[in-house]
Amino acid sequence: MHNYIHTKYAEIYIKEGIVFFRYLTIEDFDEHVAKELVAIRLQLQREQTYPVLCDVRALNIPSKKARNYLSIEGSLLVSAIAYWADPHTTKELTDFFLKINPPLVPSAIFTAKEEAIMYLKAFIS
Amino acid sequence: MNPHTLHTDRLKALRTMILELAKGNFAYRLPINTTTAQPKDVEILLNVLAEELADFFVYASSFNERNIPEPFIFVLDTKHHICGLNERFRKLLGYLEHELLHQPLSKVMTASSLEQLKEKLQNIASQELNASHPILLCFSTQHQTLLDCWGYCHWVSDGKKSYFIFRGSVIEKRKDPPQPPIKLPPNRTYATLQLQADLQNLKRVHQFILENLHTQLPSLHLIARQFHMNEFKLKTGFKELYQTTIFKFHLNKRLEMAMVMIKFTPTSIKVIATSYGFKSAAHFSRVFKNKYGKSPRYFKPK
Repeated sequence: MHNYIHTKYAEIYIKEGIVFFRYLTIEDFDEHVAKELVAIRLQLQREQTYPVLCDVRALNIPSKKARNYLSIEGSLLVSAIAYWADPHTTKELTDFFLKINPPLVPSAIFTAKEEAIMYLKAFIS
Repeated sequence: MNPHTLHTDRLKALRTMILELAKGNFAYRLPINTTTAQPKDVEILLNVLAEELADFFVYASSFNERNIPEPFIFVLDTKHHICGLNERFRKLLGYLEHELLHQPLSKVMTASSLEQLKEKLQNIASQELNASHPILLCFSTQHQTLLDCWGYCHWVSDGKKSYFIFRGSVIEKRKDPPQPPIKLPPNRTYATLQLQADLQNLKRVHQFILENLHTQLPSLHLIARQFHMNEFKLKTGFKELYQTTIFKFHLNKRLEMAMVMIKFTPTSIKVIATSYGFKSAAHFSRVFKNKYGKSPRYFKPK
């Protein structure tokens, strides 16, 4: 079974019980892109629920509909999300988005990958 | 450009944005300067704020009149061609009837509005027949003026062909000068605070529902108690803010989540039904078919 997917929007793979989800720079991040990304992740995970490390360092601003979709449908088969953000660019924005559109699962923002992984380890089943 | 000029320009742009928001122009967006290393967080945050406010104010204030006085009405076929219209619609756009009938909607609608509408129609066509859906439209009239409108769209079908019926009205632009401030009764401040608290509570209820999609909701009475509201305010306030009832929203969201699971995971329909709190697979299939017109099995990849 494949456990690695690379599209024009993201790179996704599963390693040691965690889904690593790296956003690439998306010029026009609308609801269609959000739906496609959730679909791809679900297909990769099949029926398994995983904690997700979401690398948002290169992320552009998703539209409002995309944000809504990601916060609700984006929580499907996810036990927790750790956002890995850049302290100078995406951290404040990610924090803002999480307050407006909170995901339905536990989530936290980190600026170091190791800390994010540490947080997620508690959610590996 | 020297850093001082850049700083001054940026402050000027921020002031303009704040002014536009204060005037109620939620469509205004700040240009994001990507060529400099200057932090652009504030610009982006203001743009997002405008987007959130627009959504909140337009939907919360416009879509509470079901009986629209003198509505415009037009009908679209599935290829987005106008196949019926009333006199009000014709007059608003300034064309003769034969100049509109059987023409693509793109002739009279702005490109961005048309794009949003097409997306919305796709969504509507996957939902219940005849239900009314709030909608915002922007027309370009024969005189090259833009006309912002709001209204409702209904998806109807005679079994062979489907149509989208629109009825709506123009969003009136305020042209009158600002009115002198009205003297508020002494308890008005309290009323305003109460309204703010209610809105925040309703948003918490909305989040509570989303966090309880896997189970049945408690009664309205219990939800009202949990969020310190009275039952009437909870019921009517939620409907006004979200254009649907609490239980319909809960059911629709569960069905939408189930649809994503059906389409993109190998999980059985029985398991999906149980995980979203349906009593049985048969019960789930019945309400699913009511919403999407087809059974869950139809959407399962072969």
